[in-house]
Amino acid sequence: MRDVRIISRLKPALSFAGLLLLTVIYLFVVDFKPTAFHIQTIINQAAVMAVMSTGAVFIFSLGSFDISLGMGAGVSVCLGIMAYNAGAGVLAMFMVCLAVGLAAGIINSTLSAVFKMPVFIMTMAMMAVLTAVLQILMNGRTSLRVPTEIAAPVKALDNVWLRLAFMVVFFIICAVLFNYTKIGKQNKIIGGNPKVAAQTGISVARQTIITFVISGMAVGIAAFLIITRSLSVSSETGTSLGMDVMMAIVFGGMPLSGGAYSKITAGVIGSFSMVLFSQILTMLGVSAGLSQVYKAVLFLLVVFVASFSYREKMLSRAEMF
Amino acid sequence: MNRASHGKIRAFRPRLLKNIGLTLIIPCFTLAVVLAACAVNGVSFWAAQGGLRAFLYSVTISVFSAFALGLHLFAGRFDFSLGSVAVLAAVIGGKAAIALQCNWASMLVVFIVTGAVLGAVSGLLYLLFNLPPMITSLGVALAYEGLSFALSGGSGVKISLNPALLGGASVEFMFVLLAAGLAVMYVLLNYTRFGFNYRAIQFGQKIAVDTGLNEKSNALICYVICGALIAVVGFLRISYNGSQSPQLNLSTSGAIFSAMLPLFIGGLMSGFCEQNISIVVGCLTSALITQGLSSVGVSLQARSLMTSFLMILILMYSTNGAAIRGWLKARMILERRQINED
Repeated sequence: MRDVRIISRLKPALSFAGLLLLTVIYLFVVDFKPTAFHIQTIINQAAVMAVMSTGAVFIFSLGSFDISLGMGAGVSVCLGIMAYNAGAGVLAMFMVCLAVGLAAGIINSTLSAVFKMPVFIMTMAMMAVLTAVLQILMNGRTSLRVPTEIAAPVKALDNVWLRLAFMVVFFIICAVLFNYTKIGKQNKIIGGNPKVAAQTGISVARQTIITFVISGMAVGIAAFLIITRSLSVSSETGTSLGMDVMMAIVFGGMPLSGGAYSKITAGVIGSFSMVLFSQILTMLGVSAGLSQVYKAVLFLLVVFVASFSYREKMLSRAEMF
Repeated sequence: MNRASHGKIRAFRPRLLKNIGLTLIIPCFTLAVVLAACAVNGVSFWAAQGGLRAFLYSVTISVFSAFALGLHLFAGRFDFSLGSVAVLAAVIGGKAAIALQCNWASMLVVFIVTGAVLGAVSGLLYLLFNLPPMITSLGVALAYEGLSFALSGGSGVKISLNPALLGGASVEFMFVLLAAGLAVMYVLLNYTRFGFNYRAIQFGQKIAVDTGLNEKSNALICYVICGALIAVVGFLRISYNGSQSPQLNLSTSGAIFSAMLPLFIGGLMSGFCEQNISIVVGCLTSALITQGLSSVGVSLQARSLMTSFLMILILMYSTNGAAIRGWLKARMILERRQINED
């Protein structure tokens, strides 16, 4: 029992050590001379995932999963671009992205907290709804773009510092909420034992709503960052983002059952680790298929280490219905 | 036959008839609505492309996917890797069948064996890690997708040039597959030790484990069966389309989500019939809805939106049905009391 506790406490440190190791390997691959382009590529790729993962940590800390986050971002990107193309400015586009992300979060939380639907299955159904909504919005087109003649104001935001600023500010806000307010503390208690939490007077429904609203905000911000970088959306946008977020959080050392040892840093550490690992494989010229196999092996290794603090007599299972 | 057993049979028959009626009411009602909609729009039920063969193909794919997904889901596990097992089994099985110059029947055996082995690997990792299976299965899905891409050089497997391998998606054989699949699952879950243990764990994991039941071997058998079942899906896909392309970035998991609606519909009937029968009826109902909407000209996107909303509505009813029924019952009792008092 004592060993389990030690490993649980050490897990974030191990994740950080893993990130440092990957950074050293990356530096070795680029001959210890990283260019501005190298650093920008990593930040550009990791920032979006880090923002979404940081928001998703709140859901994970409750001991739940939300796999509809990626498709929420896809719909948010699409409606943001549509609003901009219809004549709204950049600020209005940002507000649309944020509003769509929040709406998705509120719907999810209502279905979960009010209608008592099991979170994982509910988010799976919501993912199907959001995928269909995105397909309808795309109206048979393979992609939707911001036209070149009006793209200048959005292109001006395609800036690594802006992405970094969004990521850092959002992370600081979330870190304060998670570590120094009752939102984070109550989430950890619910993740540890929802029955005990309810009996101590914590409103699980209220916490669920707050949690999904925060992750919805993260989805909206991530959608805005996606637009500033790619200026386009396709029906595939967001398909794998939700899964990547889940993987990033696990990479970042988040306890798989949520609870007291949940760390807000898991999203950022995991996102940068995943992007660094992908970049290392790309620079070594590994093919797409093998690159995914290596990613899977690393993921399973991380999960294997994580499993030391999760040993139980019975096999892990969840009430799905 | 004595008087007591006569009484039992008399009581049993109406209950059996009632259960059969309640099981068939949803698909029959769906069929009636779909046929009426087709008649109003002046189109045939088979107006959508593909006709009976396409309809049967979608039902069979859906039944085998739902059997595999359901076997895990009802035991409290969600397996993201099922879709990737179907693709990797198709890549390995397809290549082996071409190399060994098999016919389509022996190709099916190769697929099932490959799927069972891949399922066993996935199950062993779950047992080794003892983590939430959806986390373990994410890693397995990534690995299997990557392997199917690497093994096929990114181009997949094509069997359309080998006529001997193409007979597996005929209407007759799909009927045989459906019947065989249902029979095997029915026997496995109702008349074998595996089935009894599975149900014991399903309804009381702690009690079952405390009484000495080997949960690990039961879970491993589940993974092997699910691998074999989903390999049949891979076999049908490659037989119907003539090829199987590899997929990356966890896109294979999408195929599994399509089996959710039939499972939910089946869940509504599970109180009136056996679990596997309810899954087959759920798949049939879901396919009827899709075929009907398609025949009256509803676009693919609108169809997806409608079916996903239906999924949420069913889920909402499944989780709140008992509370709603309780509230209605309480209200009726109150009303009766009020009438009596008046």
